[in-house]
Amino acid sequence: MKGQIVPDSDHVARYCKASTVEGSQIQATAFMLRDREEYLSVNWLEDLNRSDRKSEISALQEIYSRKLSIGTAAQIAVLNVGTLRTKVASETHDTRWLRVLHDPILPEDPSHSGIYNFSSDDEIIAELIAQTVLERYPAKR
Amino acid sequence: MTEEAREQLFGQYLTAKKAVAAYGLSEEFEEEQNIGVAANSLAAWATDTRIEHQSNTHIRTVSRDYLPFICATAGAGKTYIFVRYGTDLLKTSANLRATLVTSGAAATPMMAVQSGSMATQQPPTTDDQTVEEIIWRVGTTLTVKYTAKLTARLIELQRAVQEEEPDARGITSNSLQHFIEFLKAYPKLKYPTISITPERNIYASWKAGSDRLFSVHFLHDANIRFVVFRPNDRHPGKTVRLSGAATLDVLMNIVEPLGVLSWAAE
Repeated sequence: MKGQIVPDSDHVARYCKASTVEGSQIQATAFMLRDREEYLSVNWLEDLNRSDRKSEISALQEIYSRKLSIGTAAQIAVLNVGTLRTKVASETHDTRWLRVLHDPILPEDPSHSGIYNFSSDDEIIAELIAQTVLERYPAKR
Repeated sequence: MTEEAREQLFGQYLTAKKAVAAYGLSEEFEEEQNIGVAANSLAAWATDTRIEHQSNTHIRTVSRDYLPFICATAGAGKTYIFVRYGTDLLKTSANLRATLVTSGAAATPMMAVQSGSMATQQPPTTDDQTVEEIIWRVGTTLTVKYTAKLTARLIELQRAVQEEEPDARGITSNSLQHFIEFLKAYPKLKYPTISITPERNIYASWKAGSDRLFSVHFLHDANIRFVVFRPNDRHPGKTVRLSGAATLDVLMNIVEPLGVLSWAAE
């Protein structure tokens, strides 16, 4: 449902372009917004209703292959919502609480969601989010 | 030739070799200890242009990803790889005869020299340089040890950005140029982690664990935004975090007192 809060216990995945990955490390640039972008696009993993992480990643790879030109080194970063929100709130000078909201794009990307409440010049927030990456997977099948 | 100049040339040689490998010409790439720059300029460049003085010689770019690299095939003979260097050619393959490649416009023979620093032949940088030109000049602009690694990384990033974006535009050239100028001004900085922002700007980070970080976002003008994480000296386990915006010329004046060079520099 559009606008539904993604719970802190759940997880989101971010498509990270090859140009934001060096070696095996996903860089802060993967979590930066373009100018005038309102939110950071992610996918709500639990909303995919799959039985395990492997199946969730496979579903995302399928979605990305339809929407994007995927670089060979592109990655999928998995983040826990509560961890990233707490990390950013506790380590920013203005105690910034990010909001993670469901924003389905129907019919092709129903788990699409957004991370709100930061802007394109908030490099420090991108750095903090990058430090909370739990898992990473190839974006290309 | 000084050791430093030799290292620079070797870095460029490795980059050229990588381009050759990308084109599948590795077997034709000859090892050479001494490479150099043509002393005489070619007046014009032409890709996919036959050379009038050698009817069976053909020149083409190596690939879209390596625009500065030129492939010259002399009939059924060997293929040679050259590198655009301003209006000059850098020979990267051995046994080039001076008459092999000539300018279609001026018919000036290219001379291959076997030694000498390229620093004195560096053309001035301009705002309208292509990303490929800037990357190629890394080897002659910088005196750092990691020029070959840096060049390879920038080529990789340019290729990635062009693949990812539907309009195939690459890295913002002004951002890249400011980044190179910064590295030139601070040669003691270590090799950074380099990635590209959504606006196609260069973002460089010097990290040592999660509590030591110095990142710079090189914007398309001479402005930058930066992030510094460093341990709080008075409170073990706590981290000082700050960010800001400035012009490139004053950045180090701001961050040096924060101790970033203790992990970002040699």
